[in-house]
Amino acid sequence: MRSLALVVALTGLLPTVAAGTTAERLSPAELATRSRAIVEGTVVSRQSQWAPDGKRIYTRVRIRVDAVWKGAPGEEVELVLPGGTVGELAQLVQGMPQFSEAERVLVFLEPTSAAAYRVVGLAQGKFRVVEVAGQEKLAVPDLQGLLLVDPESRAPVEPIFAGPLPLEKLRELVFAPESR
Amino acid sequence: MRRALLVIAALVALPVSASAFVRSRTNAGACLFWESRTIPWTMNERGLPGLGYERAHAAFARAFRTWEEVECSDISFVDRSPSSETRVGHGNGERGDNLMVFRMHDCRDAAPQDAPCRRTGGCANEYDCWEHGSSVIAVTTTTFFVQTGEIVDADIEMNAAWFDFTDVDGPPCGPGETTGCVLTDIENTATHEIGHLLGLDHSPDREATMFASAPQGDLSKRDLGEDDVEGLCFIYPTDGPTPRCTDVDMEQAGAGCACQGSAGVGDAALGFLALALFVRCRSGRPGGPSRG
Repeated sequence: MRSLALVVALTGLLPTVAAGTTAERLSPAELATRSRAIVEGTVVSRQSQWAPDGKRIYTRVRIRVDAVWKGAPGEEVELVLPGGTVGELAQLVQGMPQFSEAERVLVFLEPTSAAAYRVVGLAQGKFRVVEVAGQEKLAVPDLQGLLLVDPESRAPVEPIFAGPLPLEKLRELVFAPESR
Repeated sequence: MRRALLVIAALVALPVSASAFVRSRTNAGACLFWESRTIPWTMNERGLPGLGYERAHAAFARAFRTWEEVECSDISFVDRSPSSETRVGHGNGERGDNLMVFRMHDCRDAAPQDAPCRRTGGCANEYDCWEHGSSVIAVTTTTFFVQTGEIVDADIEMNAAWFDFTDVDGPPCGPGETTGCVLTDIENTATHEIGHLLGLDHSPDREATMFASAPQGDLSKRDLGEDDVEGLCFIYPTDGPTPRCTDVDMEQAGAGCACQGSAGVGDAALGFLALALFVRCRSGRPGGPSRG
């Protein structure tokens, strides 16, 4: 029953047919190469606010760092993402990774300033980390809103990961020899 | 665990309906739509340097006209170009202008290293630059009421910082070719993005303009597919109301607005309800013969 429940929960998190932004597909090794920091962490807060010009909404996501795969990001990192909800209005920029409070994540990060990051490759650079007692951790991609294309031909291509995979397996791929 | 993963893989591999438009939705379950059937748009007066304002504007105008000419829908557009505006988005109480703008510079180059917007967001508007990364061709930013899904503004940014746009008919450009051939076609891209502006998401139908692909040299999205027409006429039928989407009528009416989970704002937690609809949604469509 527990396995079934896990299947149900994870399937609900799978990418669906919808997408809205086209981006080049990045392999785990490419994600790593482009990242200044790679961290496993827990979302501490998420706050959306209007930009000073009053026209754009941005969401700031604070993540407590639980484990560092690459870089020296400190105990906490802050992400800035376009889109979000303030009051009764929402702004949607599809393909951006989505975060919820208390969510455990693995994120590939590049800095936008000395104090803030964005996710590499839009939603490609974020995985939800799911752990069930007695089982190995899983990394769950969420590519909703994102179409991936081949960087050379621009032809649409399937995601490298169509569903969850063991976190350790992902780590192996990230640090495969060709990524260094 | 392996068994569980196999089950997931099998679910992912389920066949998707060959023709099934998808409506963008809010986390509250509402589908995005325009209340008015007459939608204004405007292009930034700069147009696309190198091609010229007139040609860039003409390509967008043709793209809007393509959607407008669908007979079973009464959607129409009002061209208020040109505009000196370069900022996308929509403030509270504003009238939506629905701006089309080509971004010529990446924000990493345009915004100073110590600019506050690099930490808080907002560089794109402040420095008139592209902030979505070098691999993204075009982005539609849609502002809407989260509870109802009513769209109040939708702006399209084109990534001219990293992509070469063209407006000619011809074969795809070969290596080193830049004239008399197609690189990234404005009209092709615009027609697709205008579908997003109207509240449509990507369709799994490979013949549809709203199918999520933009291979270099592609011109096929200049013309709408049957699925695009069905989607438009479902949302904006001539002399008929726009069907609203809720999680309840999603099951009853089919999958015109189904299966997407969230239109991108907020939680990724679709949860168990989304799963319960997952298999059924993949085979459903409005007015379709079966829903699995």
